[in-house]
Amino acid sequence: MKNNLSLELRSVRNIFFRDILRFFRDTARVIGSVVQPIFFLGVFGIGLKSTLSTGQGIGFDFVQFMFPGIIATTTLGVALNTSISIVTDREFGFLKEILVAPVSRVSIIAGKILSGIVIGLFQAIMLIALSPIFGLKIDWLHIPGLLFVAFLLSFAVTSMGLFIASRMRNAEGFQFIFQFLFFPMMFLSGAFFPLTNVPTWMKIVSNINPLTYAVDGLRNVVFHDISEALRQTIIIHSLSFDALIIVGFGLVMFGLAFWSFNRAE
Amino acid sequence: MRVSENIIEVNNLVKKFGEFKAVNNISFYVKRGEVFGFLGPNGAGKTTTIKILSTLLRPTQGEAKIDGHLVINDRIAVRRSIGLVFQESTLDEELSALENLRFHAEFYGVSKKVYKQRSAELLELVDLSDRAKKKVRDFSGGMKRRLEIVRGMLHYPKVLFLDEPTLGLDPQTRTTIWQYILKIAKQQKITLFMTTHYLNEAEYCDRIAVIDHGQIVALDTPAKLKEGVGGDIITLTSTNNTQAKEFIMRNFSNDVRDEEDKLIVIVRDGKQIVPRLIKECPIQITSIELKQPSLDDVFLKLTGSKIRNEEASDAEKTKSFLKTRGFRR
Repeated sequence: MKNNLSLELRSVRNIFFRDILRFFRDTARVIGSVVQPIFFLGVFGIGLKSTLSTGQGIGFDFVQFMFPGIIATTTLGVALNTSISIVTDREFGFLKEILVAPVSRVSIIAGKILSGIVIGLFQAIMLIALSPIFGLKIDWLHIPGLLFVAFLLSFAVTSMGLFIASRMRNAEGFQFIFQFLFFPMMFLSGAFFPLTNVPTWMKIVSNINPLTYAVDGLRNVVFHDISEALRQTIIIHSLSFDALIIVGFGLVMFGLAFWSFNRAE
Repeated sequence: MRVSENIIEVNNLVKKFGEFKAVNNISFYVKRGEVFGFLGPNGAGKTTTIKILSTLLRPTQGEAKIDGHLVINDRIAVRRSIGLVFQESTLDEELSALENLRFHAEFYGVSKKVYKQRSAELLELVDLSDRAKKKVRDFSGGMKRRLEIVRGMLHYPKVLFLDEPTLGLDPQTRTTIWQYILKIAKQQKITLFMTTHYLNEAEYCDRIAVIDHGQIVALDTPAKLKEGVGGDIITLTSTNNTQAKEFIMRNFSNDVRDEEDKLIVIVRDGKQIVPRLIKECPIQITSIELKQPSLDDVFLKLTGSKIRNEEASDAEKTKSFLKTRGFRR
């Protein structure tokens, strides 16, 4: 039994190492993961800031407001991408090599989730490291909190991606899902504008969007010392409530992914 | 656990896809160390059987055991005992040859030391040593196949399943690859279970199961199967086939049939019959050919149809190529 456990753990590491190796070998992906957020923060953030500041003051720094949203959406992107790899593995046949290996499906899923989390965290760390360029004042004490939320989000999103990927037979279908999942999740998460003052339908949709809670959680960390009045305009829930929702969502998706992969094809 | 003489035991296996019976009540066993083959046209149920034996597919009915483990209940134990080489490529093209092998070794609990030694040996054996650190993406079809085969053997499985391992390769590469497979299998006492529709490859088998429409129609050694055809085969043309047929049936053999403008005669001891036939036959024979029965003749006799020949499989080659590239429709 002990032997089996060490073999299972070795398999988790095996899956994880391969994903990491492939991520860092894919130079375009690594560069893209840095350039895209720069683009968002630098162009979008600074551009909107100058527009907004011509009107009445909004009481907080717009780039700082955007920052949690950028962390959340890019983490969503890379974590979802990591789970896409299962579909391309199926397409190229490599998934069979994984599925006939003498290890339980839990280890395979665990390995994938581990790589999703590590790549997601790598992305978040890159963003935090780059933030001073855009004049963001990040308190050192905020970093553990930001990484904590990014960690939970990566776990939840990778699990979700795995569940979806397990149901898909080819990569074209995944592109479709990606378009219809990634963009709505991104725009209806409060990443780019506060959700405190939007129409009811948008509120409902954003409430069932797990990314909303990640953005809100990150914003809780970044704006932990602002006035209560201002807080009510940009923050919806408490950090612990946000964390709870993300974890709950992640666990449900993990269960579904496990169930789905465990059925013989 | 009782160590059975048979490494594979299959009893009354059935697999239905909807109403279609892909595998229709087959039973057979494979002895340890044997080279066992499934011979049959595409769609005969070969791949489905392999998928069931390798735990990728659940049977509708019946049971199958690999090294004493039931494929339905004991999936991980079964997977530990087997190696697989699929029809299509299952390599990670972004990784190097060695990285692909290491990924495999990790899954099967092969220790680092053993992995290093074996991978070097195996790559040497299939002439890939100088490519060990190159990305698989740049390999030729034959090189990928060779790598895939040694990967399947890296953990020294008890049974190696080879599902049309040489599909789409040129005849010369096919022969070389089979030499490697048989050599390693013999060295490591690995039982081979292969499917093929290339008749000359089936000749490598100790025993062959001829499979058609999901059923085993014959199972024996290649020699015995050919004996079952009933003797040597004479193919001839004459100025009057009807009269020639009558004459041959009266004097030489009852087993004569027309095939287009030719007569096919099955006789014992063809070498002696041919000269007599030419001399004694009152109707002029315009051409004559003698051959030993091939597995194609066996198949023809058993099922009444020919196994699709190699030329026809070009279309399939394209199909399988498109499929692996993701152009499935």
